Amino acid sequence: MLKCRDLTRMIASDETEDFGFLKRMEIRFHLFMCKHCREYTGQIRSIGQGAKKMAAEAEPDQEQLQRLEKDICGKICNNGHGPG
Amino acid sequence: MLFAVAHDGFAGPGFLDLLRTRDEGALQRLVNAYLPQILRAARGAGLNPQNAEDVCQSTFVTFIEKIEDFEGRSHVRTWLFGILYRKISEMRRSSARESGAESIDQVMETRFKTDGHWQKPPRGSDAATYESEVREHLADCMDGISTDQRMAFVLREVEELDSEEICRTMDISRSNLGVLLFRGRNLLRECLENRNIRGH
Repeated sequence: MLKCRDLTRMIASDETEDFGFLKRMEIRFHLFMCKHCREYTGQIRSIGQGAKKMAAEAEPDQEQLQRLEKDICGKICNNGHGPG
Repeated sequence: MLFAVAHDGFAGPGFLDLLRTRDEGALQRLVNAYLPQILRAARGAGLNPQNAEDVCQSTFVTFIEKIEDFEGRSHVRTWLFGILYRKISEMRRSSARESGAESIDQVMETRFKTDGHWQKPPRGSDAATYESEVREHLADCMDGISTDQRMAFVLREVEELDSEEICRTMDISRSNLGVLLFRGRNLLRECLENRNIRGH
């Protein structure tokens, strides 16, 4: 029988992605039965989604990207071929 | 069209040859295609806007300097992320702000009884409330986890890379990645829970 401690470890370390059908069913069954593990798993997912949203909101604007792109191209396109 | 090359064409030998000869069009396509992701990952790793821009620039410079070493076995993106990761690690090591994070393993142990069931379960809240708590405190909590934990977390959750690519980027084993994700996520979850208990 799957223990809560083991389930949290599997969820937080993404071990579950390597699991086959039976192991996945065991996890689903445990989550169905256990309110605390459902809560924990939901929170871990929300944290991941929150990080994604945070990154999306901090996206640089086109102007910044174009300026930086130009700076970088200026450095690498002349690399070894520049004057002097 | 200058920018009409599909991303998967970037791993091909033709494109690499162009990069090796410093073909300007190819270099521009490379930067144009990957800069947004590299910049986002640098910001996600916790660098301020100026440092993030600087590290992006030096990532591409190093990429071109070391292009002869690139054998094309790994994806161009993996290689760029790898360079970025090493640069950020060096910056962080020199500023010595890492904290010992193994104690999160002990915190997690205290949450369970010896039989493996919850002793101190997560504080319950409905999904919408939890989301707004995450929104409010996640940025601060992320500053409290190590560079490696944060990089693994960001590459997984924000860039949505698969485990294999993250392991190649960070040059770690699958079980190392598991430990980094486990500790990083639990540190974040504990941090959020502590802040919100104090806030209510």
